[in-house]
Amino acid sequence: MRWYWIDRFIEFESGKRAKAIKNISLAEDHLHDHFPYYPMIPNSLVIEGMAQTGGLLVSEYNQFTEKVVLAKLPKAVFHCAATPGDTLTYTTTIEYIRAEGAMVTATSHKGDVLHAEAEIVFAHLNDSALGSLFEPETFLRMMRLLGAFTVGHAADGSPLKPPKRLVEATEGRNQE
Amino acid sequence: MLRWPRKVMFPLRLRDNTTTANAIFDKDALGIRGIYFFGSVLEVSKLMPTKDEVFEKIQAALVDALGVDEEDVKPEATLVGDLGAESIDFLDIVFRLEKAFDIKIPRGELFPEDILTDAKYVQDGKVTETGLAELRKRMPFANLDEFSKNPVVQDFGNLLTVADMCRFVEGKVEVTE
Repeated sequence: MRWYWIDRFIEFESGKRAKAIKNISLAEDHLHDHFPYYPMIPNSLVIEGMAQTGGLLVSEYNQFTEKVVLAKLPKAVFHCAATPGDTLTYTTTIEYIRAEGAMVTATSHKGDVLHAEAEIVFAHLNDSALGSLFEPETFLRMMRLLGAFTVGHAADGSPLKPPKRLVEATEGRNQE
Repeated sequence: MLRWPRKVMFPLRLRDNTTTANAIFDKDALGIRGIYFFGSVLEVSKLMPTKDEVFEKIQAALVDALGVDEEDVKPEATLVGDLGAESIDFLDIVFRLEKAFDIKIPRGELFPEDILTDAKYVQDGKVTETGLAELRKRMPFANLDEFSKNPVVQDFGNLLTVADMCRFVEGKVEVTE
């Protein structure tokens, strides 16, 4: 199953901030059912998009070693609806990262118009039973597909590279 | 733009109409928090928070973190029982307190979960005498009397009150009356 609620990263500053865009299209089936005759992107999917933008940012900071899960939304405010033809820009900024988890603040803009604001808390799970949900290939593919390594920068300003750990794990698996 | 260091206190202290000057700069509060000069106060603002200010900031942090109404955050309210805090909320609360008071709260300091999972301190689901002594040492801000009567580990989560949190923060920042 594909569960991508962002289309592309346009900025990815390791450990700090990530920006991604989401193009809304009438071709998306669910727009026809959410509110019949009033196609708008469901707010829950905007949250998911912001969580993906921020979640990959948080995961990348720890070289994808932590199991980062959305744990809490202390705040989510929507100011207007976003409809087919709109391009949403999600900006997520890391507020803190600790051993137990992290928080990002997120905004969604339609052009210059503020569309939504949220705070998202992620927890770092240490449950080994969840291992299969967090495959290195999945993250590597997702980051590449979304162009994180094309636009991204590491903390020292150099171009963002795939974490060695992920590449090695992926290659090791392919050879097996 | 002028950038002040975090806090600068001029060495000449002026209090109670003495003839020295004392200026305090704090970048978090519009640059200047207070200038006392030749007996007259040019700009009044206290550097150290009062107990009321500590309570107000904690109240705001809990309203934001738990989505509760301001009037429900009373000193005697328990975080888990009355305000509905869950374990993930403590991470959120700790972060908001760190930000509001510019302090560091290491893991386990507000909520010493390590003691409750340590076989050395827990027997048959209850905290032992040594465990209670350790809790008292680690949590001087909390009132453990009621809990000590029947120290079931499961009830521990409902121990902390808003007043305990205030005492915890007051132990970390200097407070004026």
